[in-house]
Amino acid sequence: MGISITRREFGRGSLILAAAASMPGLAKAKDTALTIGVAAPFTTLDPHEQSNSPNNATSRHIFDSLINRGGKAENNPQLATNWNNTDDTHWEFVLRKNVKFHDGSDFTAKDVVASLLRARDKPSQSFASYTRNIKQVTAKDPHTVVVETTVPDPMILNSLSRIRIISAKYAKADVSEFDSGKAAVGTGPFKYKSYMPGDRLVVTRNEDYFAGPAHWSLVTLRILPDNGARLANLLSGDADLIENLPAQGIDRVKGSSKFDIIRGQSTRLVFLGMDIERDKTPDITAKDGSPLDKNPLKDERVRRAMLMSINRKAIVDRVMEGNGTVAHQFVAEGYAGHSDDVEPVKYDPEQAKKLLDEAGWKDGFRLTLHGPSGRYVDDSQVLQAVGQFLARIGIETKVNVMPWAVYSEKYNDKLYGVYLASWGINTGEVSNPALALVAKRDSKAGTGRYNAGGVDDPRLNALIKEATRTLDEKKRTPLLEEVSEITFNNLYLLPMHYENVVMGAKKTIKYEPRGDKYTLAYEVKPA
Amino acid sequence: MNPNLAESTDGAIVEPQPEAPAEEGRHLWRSFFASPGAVVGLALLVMIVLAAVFAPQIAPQNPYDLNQISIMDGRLPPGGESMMGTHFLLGTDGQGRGIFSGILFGLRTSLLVGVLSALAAASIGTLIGLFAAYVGGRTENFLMRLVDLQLSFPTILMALMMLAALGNGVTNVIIALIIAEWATYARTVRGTALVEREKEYIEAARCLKLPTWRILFFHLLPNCLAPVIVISTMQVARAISLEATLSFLGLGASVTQPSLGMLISNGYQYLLSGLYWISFFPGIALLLTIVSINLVGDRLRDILNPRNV
Repeated sequence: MGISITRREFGRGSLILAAAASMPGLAKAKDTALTIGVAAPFTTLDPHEQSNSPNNATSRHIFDSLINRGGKAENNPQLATNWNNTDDTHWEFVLRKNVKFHDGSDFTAKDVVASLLRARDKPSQSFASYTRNIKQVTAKDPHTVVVETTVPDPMILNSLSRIRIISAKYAKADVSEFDSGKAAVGTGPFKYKSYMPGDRLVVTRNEDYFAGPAHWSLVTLRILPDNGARLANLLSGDADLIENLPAQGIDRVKGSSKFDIIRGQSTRLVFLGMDIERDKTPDITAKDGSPLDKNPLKDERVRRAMLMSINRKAIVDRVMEGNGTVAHQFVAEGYAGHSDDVEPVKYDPEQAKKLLDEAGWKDGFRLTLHGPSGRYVDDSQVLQAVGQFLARIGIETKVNVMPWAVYSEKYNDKLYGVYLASWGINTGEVSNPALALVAKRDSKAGTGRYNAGGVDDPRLNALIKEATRTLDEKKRTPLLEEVSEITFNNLYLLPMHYENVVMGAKKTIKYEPRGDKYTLAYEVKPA
Repeated sequence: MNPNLAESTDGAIVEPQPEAPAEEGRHLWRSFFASPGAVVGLALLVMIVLAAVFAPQIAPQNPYDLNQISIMDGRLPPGGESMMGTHFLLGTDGQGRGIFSGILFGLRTSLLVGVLSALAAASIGTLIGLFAAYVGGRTENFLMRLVDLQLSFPTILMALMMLAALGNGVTNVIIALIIAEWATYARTVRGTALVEREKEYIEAARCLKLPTWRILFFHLLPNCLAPVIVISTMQVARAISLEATLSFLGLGASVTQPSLGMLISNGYQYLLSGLYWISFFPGIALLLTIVSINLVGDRLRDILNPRNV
């Protein structure tokens, strides 16, 4: 009860604050608490250890980057105030002055150098997609940094917006030192207070934040991957804002006078990846369980038949209750790299059966679908529905879901024949997903980090390589369009849907969902 | 003279017979039926077991066959009509599985897990307990400290740890439950066996230089069985609810072959939006199963408790 009383007082506080706002001199930051129910667990506070949306969203509370990526994928100044490229491979960034870390030390160029190199050289190599072109980072003076790239890199600003700046003195700190709070010292809008892995992160307001203190004095990011629990937390008043409002909660929230549904468009593509590389693939057998002498997924007709058999419209409408939009390629219309020449595959089970027959799989085969539970919107339900549709054209399907923490470590190691995966296309253009998902896997070059299906198409590799070196947008876009065409006309990935951002919030709160689905407490405003 | 040591007609000394509960059998049944609660429990249990065994014959649909279910029939209320014109007695879940069929098939998994894991844990635990008590000394100390160590972890935690290591699947759940539960049996049996070990019939058996295994299994074991039977019945119910918990947490059986626990977990997300039937009916089924087993187990405990005889 104590908490709810305080909460009410906080509410009153914000009313007073609102009333006082018109009176000059009185408007001072008050005690205000915000609790956000986070749907996908973040795994560490070390901002350079593992690159995934929950981690990168969480690290933005404590740390800043040189570039501030806006909700609509625009590059804004953050720790860098302005920048220009002196030549094709040299970028000069002028740093913001008088910025202090949470421990009181000054932010200077050496922190930038240490952070960028740390992200680049971390053994986990999880940020390789963003750092692979960084050749050298040098401090020209305490407030100017020069980033040298190996090749002309049109995405460097976007890449730098992903890399959080830590204090140089913690450049050698390991993951546990960040998680314990010792090294979790940034310049961001919030300061570390406590962190319980798998449960919650509590941060307090950084009163000296360069862009002005946040409205909230105390922010709790509660990890609530379970749909029912997350919804219950909102309805009971414990959480002020929850991510991924579960489909089954929409009716409850819609009819309520206390809560609002906040919707937005996301660029997260959910797809089925499959092993199209090896001749023998795990989990695919004949119907009697005997091993097959070849891998049916290598045949484009089989992949087409599979996609054709899936009624994606029904999945989006019925299983996800409208929380998704059917996808046909990496990005929806309007984003760079969307191509009108990608042939949409329509639901047609009869044609799908014919195609399977034609490919020599009249009797079908048996496969296991793998996927996470609680990571993507209705993931385990979507997988089961896919299983139903595949079963109807004679592909006997088993569904194996596991917790995200287990799955995320395994699916990328080519352990599965068919797997449900997803990519949040935060750059809002095609080179980013293409580089990670369908470029040939090459750990040195940092390409194909999540190409777990073994896609290796020479034309595609060449196109991606060229596109990532072309600074001129007009030349770049046609290259990206061809990347989309090759990927999705060959069905190297089976596109399922884009997730919609659907959040539940108290009416006392305003929030504009971001395309990258990050939930940032700093951008949450009182209504 | 020890009454167990009788001379046979040909003069040879025969093996001493432990106090065999020969006509106790009939007595046991009679006192069992004296309790109406136990009778109701037993009747219910028999019905549940029959329903589970004949599930494929009774259920209108095979909820484990992806070909027979359709998301187009998802979340129908009890009595709702499917695309094919059939009706679902207790409604459907999000994937279009009939809840009634789901419960029947789910019961199979639950009972299988419960019975198998309890039996296996009982066998292993009893063996270890007997052996420890009979041998004594360092071996006993070692085994019992192992039991202490095991019992100091909550069962659910043990099971979770095992499943994290082994991965999902019914077989793995059974293995995890066995590992989590054997210690209870070992501790109980050792206690009983320590008392029995000192009795004259064991002494007599030793004097006859009978092999250890023979003393253990033919003399000591039958007299330690009463508590084992009682714990076993309770443990079956416990294992079923543990399996339900594990499935509820997403660590149990496969998602396309839901046990009772998983049916409940699929539906509880919808409780807040009024689609009560997805969790409610499987929950009732689980409740009835556990209550009936406990009623039977309770009565057995009353009867087999030596202080009551």
